[in-house]
Parts: sequence; structure tokens; C-alpha cells
Amino acid sequence: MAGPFNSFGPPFGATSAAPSSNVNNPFGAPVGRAEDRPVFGAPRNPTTGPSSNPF
Amino acid sequence: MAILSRERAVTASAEACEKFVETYYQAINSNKPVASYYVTDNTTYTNAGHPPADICINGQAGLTPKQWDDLLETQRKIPSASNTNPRYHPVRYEVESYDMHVINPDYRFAAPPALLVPDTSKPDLGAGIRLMMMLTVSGTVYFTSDRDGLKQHFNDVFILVPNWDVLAKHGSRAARKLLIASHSYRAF
Amino acid sequence: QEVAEYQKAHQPTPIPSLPSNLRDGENGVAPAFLQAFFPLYDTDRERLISEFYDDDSWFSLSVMLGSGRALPWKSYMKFSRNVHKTGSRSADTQQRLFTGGSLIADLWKALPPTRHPGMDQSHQWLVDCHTFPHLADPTGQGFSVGLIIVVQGQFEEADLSQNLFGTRTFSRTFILGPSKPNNPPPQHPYRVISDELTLHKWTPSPTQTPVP
Repeated sequence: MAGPFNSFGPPFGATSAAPSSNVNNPFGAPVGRAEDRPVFGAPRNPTTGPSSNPF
Repeated sequence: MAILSRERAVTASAEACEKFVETYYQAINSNKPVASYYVTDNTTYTNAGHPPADICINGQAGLTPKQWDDLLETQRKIPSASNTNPRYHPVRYEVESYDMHVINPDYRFAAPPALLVPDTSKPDLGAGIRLMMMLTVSGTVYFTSDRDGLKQHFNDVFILVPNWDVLAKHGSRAARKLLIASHSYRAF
Repeated sequence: QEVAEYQKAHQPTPIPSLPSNLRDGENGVAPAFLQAFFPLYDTDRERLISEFYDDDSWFSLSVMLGSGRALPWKSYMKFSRNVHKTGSRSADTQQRLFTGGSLIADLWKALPPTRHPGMDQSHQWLVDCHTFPHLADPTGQGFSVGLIIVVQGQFEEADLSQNLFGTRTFSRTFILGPSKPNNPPPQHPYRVISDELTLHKWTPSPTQTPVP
């Protein structure tokens, strides 16, 4: 079933610490501190703690 | 740069995680602290600017490894016992399933130069160990010695990175070749 | 009642459970991704692959066997990459790891159809996620930020080949990273690097009831 597998494909590049301008981040800046626990879905309120509605 | 074969990376990750699962849950089940399994307390990582391990336990984020040890200890505590004379009950984590993926086959953060070896005339000592992995572990938590007593499912997800201090030592047989950079725990 | 109270006072207490914890960055990728993912997984798995997976995406599933009220596992067992059972050096550990969108799509075609609860039923879902550093960047330059999403929930299953219908409890973990620069459309800024599905024996209520 598994069939032939790919290798990893193109080689991965260097991943050592790089200047922050070189960091690829499609997710946006972190929101708040961990203890703020941003809430998602509407209404979004970063002060109410963990979200009972993840959507 | 030599490309790490998929087969070698898969075998290396499975072997490393097998050892990790064995020692980590053995420590928890023998009431030993596990804080030293996390990058937070590793000076090689912290000196290089790595953030503390991200620990989220049953939805509670921002915990330190020490706070996770404390939560485990509180979980073992018998509520009716006094605080001055606490009594504990064994809580056993029984692993029933685990699986892992390599999410970065050439992890280099804070790696010692000896394990980076850009010189292609030499064997790449770091190939197969410079792995960043995602490991999921599932099983049952038993809160009583009676297997039909109070129990929960648990689901642990770890992001694991190389423990350079152990790997850099030649011929090191230490089991602790991985460190936890992220830990998400849920029991239900 | 008294017996229950006595037991409670003399037994350890499980760690309290809080609702979902989302720390996925200001772009709100986790809810957007999951809202796209699960409806498509139920209705059009091939399209799901073309949206978010590529040649380097990894997928595997593992089955946590055990007692309890569980549907039979026949349709999953031959694909189960439970390394606790197979062992790290087993050929299954290699072969039951599916790399690349086309192999993953072939596998998903062989798995029973599913129906996940709607995203409006928030009590049916537990999602914990956060961003993390030091993935390799697909351009080969520098490093990139990843997003780990851990989902707990249940789905209904209609296994027509076995004539079995029922509910399963699952955990599913995704690692998302930046898209490759030359991804064909539809282009999302992120891709699935890793997707691991664990099937548990069914439990009545795996998820947190909403906090009032």
C-alpha cells in the first residue's frame, strides 16, 4: 500500500539562528503573553482567559 | 550538504522517541521530577536565546517545568490528608500508543560546530541526530490500583529537539538525547 | 453517596481541565485552518490535499486499542503506525508513514467516510495551539515560525465496507509552516508539514463542557 516514498525532496537550508528579518512567519506576531490566552472566535477578548469556543 | 535519507531519519526518530517515551513515563510513574527533560533548564539552549519550553497542561499555558512537576505531585496527593502530613497515592501513566514525525530534518539551533560539519570530506556526525520531531503519546492514567477504578485517557504532544550536551559527548550512552521544546497535555 | 464522597477524599484528584487555549499569532490561522479542514475532510479529501498539503507533508494514523465501547478497528489496523506496538525498527514504522499529498490522498480514499461536528458546537472541540521557532524555511534561507495545533474531539463514521456506523474519539495534531514560494494556486501562506491522527476508544465526553 505504501508504495515508493519520496526522499525529503529539496535539501533544507541552514536553520541556525538568523537575523529576525530573515524569519519567515505566516502566523503573525504572538498575541499577548501566555497567561493572557487570547480568545478566538467572536467575541475575541484577551482578558477572559481560556476560550470555551475555539472558533 | 548531504541530504538525509527519509528512511534514515524515520528510523532515527523512531528509536530516539522510543527511548524518550520509556524514560519519561518511567520517571513520572516513579514520582521523579521531569523538569530536566525540558529546554527551559538547559543552559546550551537558554544561552543561545531559546525561549523556555511551551508547556500547556489541560488548557493551562505558560507553565514552567517545575510547575508541571508540582501539578503531578498535587495530582498524586490524597485530598483527605493534612498539608503538614501529606499522603500520596500512586498515579500511573500507561502508554498504549505513540507515533512521531520529523518536522525539521536539519535542526541547527545552538548546535555545537562538531555536529554541523560543513566539510563534505568527513562523515556528517550530526546527520540523523539534528532532528526536530513531533511526538504524540496516548494511553490511560490510572488513579487507583483497581484498573476499573478512576481513570482517564491522556494525550501528550511533544516537540522534541536534540540535547546537544549529551550528543556532543563521544560514545555517550546517556538516554536523554532529546529535550522538550513544547508539551501539550490533555486528559479526559 | 457516602461511598462516593469517601472515595473522592481518599483518591488522587485529576488535574483540572480548562477550555481550549489558542495562542496562534495575530493572524488567527488556527481557527481559519480548522474551519476549512474538517468540513473538507468530511466531504472532499482530495481537495483538502490540494489546498494544504505538498510533496513533503507527512501523515500517519495510530490506533489506541483497548477495552471499552469501541467500533471495530478493521479499516484502520493495517495503516496503524502505533510504534508502541510495531516497534521502532519494524518495516511498518517506515511503510505506514505517508509522505506527500498523492500518497496521503490514496490512503484517505481507503479510510471510512466521517462526519465531524460543526464548528458552532464548541463544546465538542478542544483545541490547544501555539507558534514556535526554528523550523527550516522552505526557501533554504534562515528559519521559520511553525504553528502546532492539537485537536481533541469526536466524529461519526459510516464504514460502508464493514456496514458499521458509530462514533469515535480522536486526537489530531498538525504542524503548519510557511508555504513553499512556488506553490501552485490556491495559495495559502502556510502548509501542513505534519498531520498525526490518533484514534481512541470512544469515551462519552472527551471535551470540556463550556464554562458558564
